[in-house]
Amino acid sequence: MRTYIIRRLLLGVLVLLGLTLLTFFIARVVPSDPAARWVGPRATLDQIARARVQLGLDKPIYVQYLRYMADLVHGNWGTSIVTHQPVLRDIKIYLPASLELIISGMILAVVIGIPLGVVSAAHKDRAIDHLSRAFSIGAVSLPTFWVAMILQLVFFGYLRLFPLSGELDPAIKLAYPMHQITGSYLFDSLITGNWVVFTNAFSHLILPAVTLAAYPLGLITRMTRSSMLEVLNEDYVRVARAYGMTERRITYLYALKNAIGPTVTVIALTTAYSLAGTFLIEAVFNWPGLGHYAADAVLAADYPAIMGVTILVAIFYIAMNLAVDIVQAILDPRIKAA
Amino acid sequence: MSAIDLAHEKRRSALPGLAYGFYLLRKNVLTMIGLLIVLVLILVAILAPLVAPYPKDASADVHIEQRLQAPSRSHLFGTDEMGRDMLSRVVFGARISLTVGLIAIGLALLVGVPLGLFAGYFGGFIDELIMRVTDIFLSFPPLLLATSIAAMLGPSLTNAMIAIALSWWPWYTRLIRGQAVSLRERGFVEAARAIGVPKPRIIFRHILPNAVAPIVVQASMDFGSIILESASLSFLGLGAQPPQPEWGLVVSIGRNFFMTSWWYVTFPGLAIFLAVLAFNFVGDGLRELLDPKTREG
Repeated sequence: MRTYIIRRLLLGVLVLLGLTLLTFFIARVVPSDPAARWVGPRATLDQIARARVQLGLDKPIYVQYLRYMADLVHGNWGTSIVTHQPVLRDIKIYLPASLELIISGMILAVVIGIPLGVVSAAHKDRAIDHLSRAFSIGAVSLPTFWVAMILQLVFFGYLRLFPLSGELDPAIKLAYPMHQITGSYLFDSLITGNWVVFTNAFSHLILPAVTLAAYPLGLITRMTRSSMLEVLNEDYVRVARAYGMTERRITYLYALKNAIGPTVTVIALTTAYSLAGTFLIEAVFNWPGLGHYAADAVLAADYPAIMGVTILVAIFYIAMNLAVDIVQAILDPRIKAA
Repeated sequence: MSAIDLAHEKRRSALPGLAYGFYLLRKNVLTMIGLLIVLVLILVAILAPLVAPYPKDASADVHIEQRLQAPSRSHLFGTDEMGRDMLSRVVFGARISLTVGLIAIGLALLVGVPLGLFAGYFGGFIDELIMRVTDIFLSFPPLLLATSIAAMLGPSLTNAMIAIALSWWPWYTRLIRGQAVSLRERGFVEAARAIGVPKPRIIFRHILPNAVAPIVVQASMDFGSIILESASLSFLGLGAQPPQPEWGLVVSIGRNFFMTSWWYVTFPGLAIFLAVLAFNFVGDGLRELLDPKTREG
């Protein structure tokens, strides 16, 4: 057990190292002349030459990489070309709104997806199974940016049920100045008991959260269905049936417990993946999160910011992967042998 | 077991691989729907100049007097802010999306397959090195990796294809490495080695053809995701550029008009959804087919 965890941790460190190599390569080597990009299109040759020295681009490539690594470790992730703030500080400002969106979207996806997958597997090849399969494939096929706009069109444009975009009405933001605790309006207003802000923030959250939930919902339903199908074929399920246990008890108590592993993996990985997926959603909903920040950075070719977000999401992704593997190994003794 | 089941059993064993596979696929309604849509899509893409009512509107034509008209008999999908026929643009968009998907997957295979073959055939240090590199690439969410590569390369459709290929190749490397590892030990490969067939020839003439089937299946399952990814890149401004009628780009431009002209984003977005859905339906059928556990269960 311990050796397994140590091996996974070491591999994680290795992958992290490789990740920095890759981002370094993308940021420093792929652009034809990073110095020219740094100073902008109207710079003189002299300015470009100075930028080259300033950025350390005149040094050998391995020296550049070591410097890049040292900066990363020391929390110096560069300065955004757009906001003129250190990238890491920008990330700290924009991250809470994204997390708020991702967590609520994921909760929605899990609460609907797992029961739907179980029901689908329990009624394989019946109408409800076909429906849930079509639904789950449909959900992963949706272009999120388009869904976001259609929801806006229907629920704001025609029905006037929810606000168009943003995190909070500006008027409410002015009338009820909030004490920032976590940076998430929804959470902060809840724990300080500020109901006006809470309901307003909640109504702003619904459409983006539903949009975000679609993709994970499809994956979770599908994964739950297929691992349930596998488990329901096992001998112990047959034995439980022979003992006369009710189908409901078998499905939800015994089978689900053994089938949940792959679903947990999918949940963890799509949570990390959603950090990248919010690019498209936050841009449409004008949600002040990391995805919005990244989408703006992409448009402005603000590459320190792009690389900062890339590294952050990748680290998050690797950490999630690692955590899942370890939790899985603790829960399922069969993994250790492999 | 009833007589009908017995007849099925008999038929199954009598059918050779491909025909049997198609027989199983035919039973899957969703897959057949998907296949149908895919066929229509391919036809529309090939025959775009004939299908589109106003082929010229796919490019930079301007008819300002008909701008932002709601769907009507002469413009089934309405018109955009330049007065161009939306239906014609969506039809030509099919061409772009399918071509981009094909080229991106082709590039990913071009990188991924040889690396996987080398890793699997040679083993040892080469294997270790190649597989650790794929681990690194796989530790990024594909859309994120493609976005940052495309952002660094600069916005264009070609760069978007390169970016997508760079974010997808490791999957194929992994898959084909597994194939190569098991094929390496097979009798016919050993025989080829024994009579002194040069290594590159063994790899590309003896191992590759035997490993190609799962790769083709995987690539066709990925096609939907690739179309979605390229549309997303175009939406972010990193793929196709105006006046190309790429679906993601049209939706992106439509953001400025959709509250007053609902048809602007609705139809191109629907086209993306249908295309991705169709390929995913087909892919799902193939997956069920290849996994006997879910098939027989």
